[in-house]
Amino acid sequence: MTTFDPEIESRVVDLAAWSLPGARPLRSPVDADHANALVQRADAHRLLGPLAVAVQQGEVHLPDEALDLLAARHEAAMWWCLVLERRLLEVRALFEAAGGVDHLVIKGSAIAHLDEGDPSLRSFADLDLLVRAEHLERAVAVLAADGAERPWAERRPHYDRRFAKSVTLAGPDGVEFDLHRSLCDGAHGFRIPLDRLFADQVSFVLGGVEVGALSGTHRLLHAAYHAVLGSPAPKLMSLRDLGGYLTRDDLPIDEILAEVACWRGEAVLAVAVRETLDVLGVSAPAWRRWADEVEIPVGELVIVDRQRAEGSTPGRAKLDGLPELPWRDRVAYTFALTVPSRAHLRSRGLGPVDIYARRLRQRLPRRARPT
Amino acid sequence: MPVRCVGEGNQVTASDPGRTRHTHHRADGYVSRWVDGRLLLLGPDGVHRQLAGSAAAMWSVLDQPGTVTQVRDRLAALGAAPAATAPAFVAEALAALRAEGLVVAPGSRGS
Repeated sequence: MTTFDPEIESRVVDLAAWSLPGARPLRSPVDADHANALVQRADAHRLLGPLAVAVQQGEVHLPDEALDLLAARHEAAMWWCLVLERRLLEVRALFEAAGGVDHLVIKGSAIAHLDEGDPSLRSFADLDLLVRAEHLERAVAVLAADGAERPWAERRPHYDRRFAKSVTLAGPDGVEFDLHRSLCDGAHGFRIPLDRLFADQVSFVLGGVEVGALSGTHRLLHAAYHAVLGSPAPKLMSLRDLGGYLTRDDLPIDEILAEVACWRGEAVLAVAVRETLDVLGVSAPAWRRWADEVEIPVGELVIVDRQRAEGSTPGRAKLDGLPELPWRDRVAYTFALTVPSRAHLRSRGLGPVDIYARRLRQRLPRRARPT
Repeated sequence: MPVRCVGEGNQVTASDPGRTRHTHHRADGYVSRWVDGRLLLLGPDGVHRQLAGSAAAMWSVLDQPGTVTQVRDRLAALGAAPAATAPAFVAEALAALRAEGLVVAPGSRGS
């Protein structure tokens, strides 16, 4: 276990920007303990690839013990990525045999193959697929028939294909699949024009097979959404992904802004661009100008803040999505959020009374809460 | 995790000059990563393999199918040493990859 050390953390931040235009030069650790801690923190942030290549290129110097640790952890991370990609090829064959599941590979493997100079620079821990909503239940059934289990039962019948951000299933081999209906939860999840993602796809070759992925424009926007809405504090690897897109010449800012207008996601993009440029210090002058000058309505920033703080737990931010739905879906969505099925509650170790008690506790002033 | 290494030093005893005409390509289903000068490979059989040296370079240049001559040219373009692009050496190394099931050359004996 490593303790927080600002010196180490600042080196890991620099590592996240490594090889991007305008990035600060990397600094070598001052001693063996710092070197081991740097490797461990790089591992935690999934930045072992950049560290390994920076060491090979002589930009960072590590003592032997840290070099051994880096080599072992990076190799283990890469073997795991290969296990995931082999599993992906197997599951694609199962989808095909089941009549077809329209899907795109998103995040890890797609970024590794399409955006990094070498796939070994980008590690990932699970498999993320964007599945066309009408095929989501078939995809879940295929994985379940193959031995994968979902930790939580569906919130209400057909909730997943109508409203969920994603369904997670884990196989007996430890491989976790995130089957995404959309790219994020809440209002922004409902605003994304999902058909455009499938209509504008690209591909990369994996094991001799062409697999579909999001276009460059959509990968940039997804990186922004993931950085801002994926967790309260963006992961450095997510910022590196976005920093890489923002500094590329082949993703013109005008095209990105036109697309994000279709998503009505300017607030998400603005927050993501500001944080990425501020934290990583990379050079993207056109994006910096836009981020400094764009005026985002306060109401939109509130939606982003609320979604960011809430994450995937059901709460107020999920209700922000209500106005984005057709009238006929609003009742079903509200009912699913407020009255989950017994199976769903059981799978989360809750009963109907627990969930209402929790809501009541959240409404009580802190002093009045039962302990 | 058992890892099988395939690298320089793999020899084949049978020679088949006719194979030089055949187009070689990577066997389907193998995914790979370069790590520290080695190529990690995982295929449908689940065996973890590592390629080193010329074998790894050959796998790398077979991202497009190619004859022995084309493979030699691509290796030379990568800056491989003359010994590593000698016709007999390339043919033998490709045979080793074929024997391991990593490369196929439809129409050639033993593929």
